[in-house]
Amino acid sequence: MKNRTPSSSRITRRQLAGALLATAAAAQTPSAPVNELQAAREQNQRSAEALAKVDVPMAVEPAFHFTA
Amino acid sequence: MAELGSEIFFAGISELNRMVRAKEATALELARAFGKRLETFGPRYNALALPLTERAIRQAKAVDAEIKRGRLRGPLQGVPYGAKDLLSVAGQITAWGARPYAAQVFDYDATAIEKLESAGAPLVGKLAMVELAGGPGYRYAAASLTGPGLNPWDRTRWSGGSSSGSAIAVAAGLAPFAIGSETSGSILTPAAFCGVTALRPTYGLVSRYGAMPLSWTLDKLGPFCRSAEDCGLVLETIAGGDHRDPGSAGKSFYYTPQYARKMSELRIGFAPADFSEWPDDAARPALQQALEVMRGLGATMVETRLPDFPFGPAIGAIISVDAASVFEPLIASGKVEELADQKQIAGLKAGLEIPANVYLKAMRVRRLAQEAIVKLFGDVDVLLAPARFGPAPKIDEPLDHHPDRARPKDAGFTALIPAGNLAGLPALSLPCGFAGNLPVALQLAGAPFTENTLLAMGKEFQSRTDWHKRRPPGAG
Repeated sequence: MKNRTPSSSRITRRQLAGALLATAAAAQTPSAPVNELQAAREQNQRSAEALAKVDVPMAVEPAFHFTA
Repeated sequence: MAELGSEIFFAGISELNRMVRAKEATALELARAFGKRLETFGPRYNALALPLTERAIRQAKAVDAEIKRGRLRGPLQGVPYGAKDLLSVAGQITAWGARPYAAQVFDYDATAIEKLESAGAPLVGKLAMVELAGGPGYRYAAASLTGPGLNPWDRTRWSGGSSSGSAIAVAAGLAPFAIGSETSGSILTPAAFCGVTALRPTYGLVSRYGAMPLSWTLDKLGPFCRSAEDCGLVLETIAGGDHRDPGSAGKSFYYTPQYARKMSELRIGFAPADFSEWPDDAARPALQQALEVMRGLGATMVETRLPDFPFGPAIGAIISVDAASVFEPLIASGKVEELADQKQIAGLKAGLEIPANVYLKAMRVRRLAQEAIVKLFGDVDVLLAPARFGPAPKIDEPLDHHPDRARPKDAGFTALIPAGNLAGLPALSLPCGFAGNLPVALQLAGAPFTENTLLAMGKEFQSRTDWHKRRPPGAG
C-alpha cells in the first residue's frame, strides 16, 4: 500500500516558496528594531488611552507658553 | 606658594574661592589641578566628553590677573567647573552624547557658559551624557557616545542619566561643581545615584539658549554640587532672564539664606508609603532614618497626596512629540540609526506618528495637573519623597526591567518626578544615606520660584548629616 500523506499536512510548492521567502526576509531584517518600533507604538497607544480617560473642560487651553 | 593638597578636590565652592582670594591658591593652579584630574580619572568612569584644560588655563590666567588688580567678581571666581555636553561652547565639539553629532561645532556659547565665564569660573571640560539627553526613552546605560556612566561608588553600577558625567564629576572630585539638565529626571536621578547634591530649578529660571532642545516646555538646566549652599551660589550665577530663550521667566535668583523662613514655620508634605512600602529593602532603613532627620528640623509634617492625573503618560507624550520634532531631520536622514540604543531610535520614530489630538490632550491635562499641584502648595510648602526608591542599578541591567514584586496600593509620591517636571517645579536632591555601598537620596520639591526655601531646608538637613561629605572609595 502506498503511503499517503494526509492532505492537511501537504505543502504545495507555492506554500514552500512563501515560507522560504518569509524566512529569508526575517533573516535579513534585524528583528529587534521592528519589535522596538512596535513596542514604542504600543507604549504611545497606552499613553493615549490613559489621557483619553481624563475629562478636560472645553475651556482648558494647552500648557503652551506664547506671548504676542 | 605651597603645593595644593588633594583636599581641594572635595572642597566646597566657598572654600576654593576663599583660597583664591586669600592667595593660598591661584585660579591657574586650581584649573590645572582639576583639569588634570578630570582628564586622568574622567575616562575611568566614562564621564568625560571633551577636555578643555587649555581653555580653562587661559580663563584662569585672566582671573588671576583680575584678582591681582583687585577686581573681585563673586563666589565662583577662580572655581573650575564642568558642563554637560549638551551646552554649546564656541569652537568646541558639542556632541550631545550622540554619534550622529560627534563632530558638531557651534560658533557661540550657551548663556549658562557665558554667565559662568563672566563670573570667573574656568570650564575644565564637557561632561558625558546619555545620547540626546535620553530622548523619548532608552533601555541601556550604554546609550551614550562615551559608553555607560560608571558610578564612582561602584563601577559595576550605573551613574544614572542623562546628566551622567555631571554627577560623576562632582562625586569623584573631578570638578567642584557641574551643570546638567533635566527634562524629566535627568538631574535628580544621577544626583541620587552618585550621592551628590543637585538642584532642578523652576522652569524658565535658567536660560536654555545654546542647550540642546529635547522638549521646549520641559527642559531645564541646573547645578550639581557638594552641598545645598553651593547649589544656591551656582544658581544665582546662571539664573536670569534671557530674550534668546522663549521659555525664559525673565526672573533673577538671589541666594538669600539669611532671609530663610524658620523651619518651624514650614509644612512638609509627605506620603508614609514612600518610606515604608515603596523603597527597596536595602534602601528603606536609610530613607526612614532620613525622614526622621527631616522631622527633627522642626517643620510640621503633613500626610499629603498628589492629585490624581496620568502624569507619566502626559509627560511621555509631550517628550515623544517634541523630541521627534526636534530630531525629525535626524530621523529623515536615516542617521538616527547611528544612535546606540534601539529603544531610543524606535521612540523617536514612533513619536512622529503620535496624533496632534493626543499631544494637545496631554498639554491640556498638564494644565489641569499644574493647577491642582499649585493648589496643593496652599497646604504645604515643600513635598518630600525619596529621590529614587533604590540605589543605582547594575550597568548592564535593562533600565525598563522592573523586578516582580507586589506594588503597594498607595501610590504615594511615585509620580513626583513627572508631576514636578510637568508643573515646572524646582526640586533638590539630597544624599541621605546608603543602601550597602551605594548612595540613596531624598528629593524636596517646592512651588515655582521657591528655590530659597528648598535650599534652606537642604542646608539645615546637611548641617545635621554628613552624607553629602562622603567620598567614593578610591576617589582620593
